[in-house]
Amino acid sequence: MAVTFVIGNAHRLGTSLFAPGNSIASALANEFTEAVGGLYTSALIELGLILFLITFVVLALSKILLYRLAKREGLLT
Amino acid sequence: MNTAALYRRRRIVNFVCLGISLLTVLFGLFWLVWILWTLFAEGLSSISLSMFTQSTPPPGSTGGLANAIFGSLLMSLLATLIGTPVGILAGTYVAEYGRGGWLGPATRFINDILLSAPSIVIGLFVYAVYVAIVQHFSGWAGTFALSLIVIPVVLKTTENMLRLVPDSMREAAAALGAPQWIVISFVTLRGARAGIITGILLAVARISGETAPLLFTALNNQFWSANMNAPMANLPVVIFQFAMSPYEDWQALAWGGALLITLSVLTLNILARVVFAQKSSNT
Repeated sequence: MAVTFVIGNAHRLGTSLFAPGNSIASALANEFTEAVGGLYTSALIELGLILFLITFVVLALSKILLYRLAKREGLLT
Repeated sequence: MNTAALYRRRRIVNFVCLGISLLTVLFGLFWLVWILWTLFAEGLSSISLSMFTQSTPPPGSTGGLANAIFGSLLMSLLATLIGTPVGILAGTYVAEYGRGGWLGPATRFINDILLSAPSIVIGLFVYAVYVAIVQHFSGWAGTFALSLIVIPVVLKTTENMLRLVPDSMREAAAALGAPQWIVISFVTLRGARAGIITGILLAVARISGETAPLLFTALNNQFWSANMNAPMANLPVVIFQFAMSPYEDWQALAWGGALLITLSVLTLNILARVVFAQKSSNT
C-alpha cells in the first residue's frame, strides 16, 4: 500500500522493473472509492481476494515448514 | 603447530563473519536514520501551533491537522478498547484452555493469518459487511477495521506471554486449591501483565499509522467532526491525499503529519520497551 506513492500506478503489464507499474494494494487504494458500477467494484474486491489468497498460501506453507521442523526435533530428542 | 594454524584460521573466519554481520546492521540502520532525517528536514518546518488548532485547509490557505489528529486519536482509542478485551480473552483461551483440543491450534493458525493479512483486505472486508449495507462511510466503520487489526496483535502477544509463565507456578497455585479461573486471573495473567501491556502498546502503534483500512471505511473529512456516524478525518488518509496533491502547502502539511505520526509511534515503542523492561525486572 505504501508503494502507491512511488510505483506509478500504470495499467499495463510491463516487463521492466524500472517502468511504472502497479500493485494490487495500490490499485485498490487508488480506485476503490472511485469505482463506478457493480462490475468495477466486484473486480477490485476480486483483486483483494487474490491478494488474501497469496498471503494465505505463503503463510500456510511457512506453517507446514515449522510443523515439520518441530516434528523432526521431537523425533531427535 | 597444527592446532595453532587451526586456531588462527578460526579467528580469521570469526573476524570476517563478525565484520559482515556488523556491516549489515549498519546498512539497516543507515536507511532508518536516513528516513528519520528526511522526515525531520521536510516536516519540522510545518509543525506549529496552528497545526494542532486548525482544521485541514483548502489549497492555498493556511490551516492545520486538528480534525485529522482528533479523528485518529478517537478511532485508535475506540479500536483499542474494542480489540483489547477480545484479544486478551482469546489469547488466554488459546494459551490456557485450548492446549489439548483442536480449537486452540486452529485459532492460532487463523490468528497468524489475520496478523499478516494485508490491511487493505481488512478495509475491503469492513466495506463489504458494514459500509455497503449502511450505505455511508463512517467513523465506526474505521474503528471496526482498526480493531480487527488490534485483535490478532494482542491475541498473539497475550498467548506468547502466558506461555512464558512457568507451569510450576500454575501447579503451585492449583496445589493450594485454587480453581483454574483463579489460577489464570490471579497467577498467570498477573505474571504476564507487563508483556500484555507491551502488546497493547505495540498494537496501538501499529494501527495509528494504518492508511489502508481507513480508506474505504472512515474515508476522510475536511471539517471538524466528532460524529462517529459520519466520515471522519484521520491523519494517515490526510497524509496520503495531501502528499499526492500538487499543492505545496498541502505537501508541507503531509510532511508535518508524517513526522507527527512517526514521533508518536516511536514514543509508543520506546514506552513499550521501558514498561516491559521495568515490569519484568520487578517480578
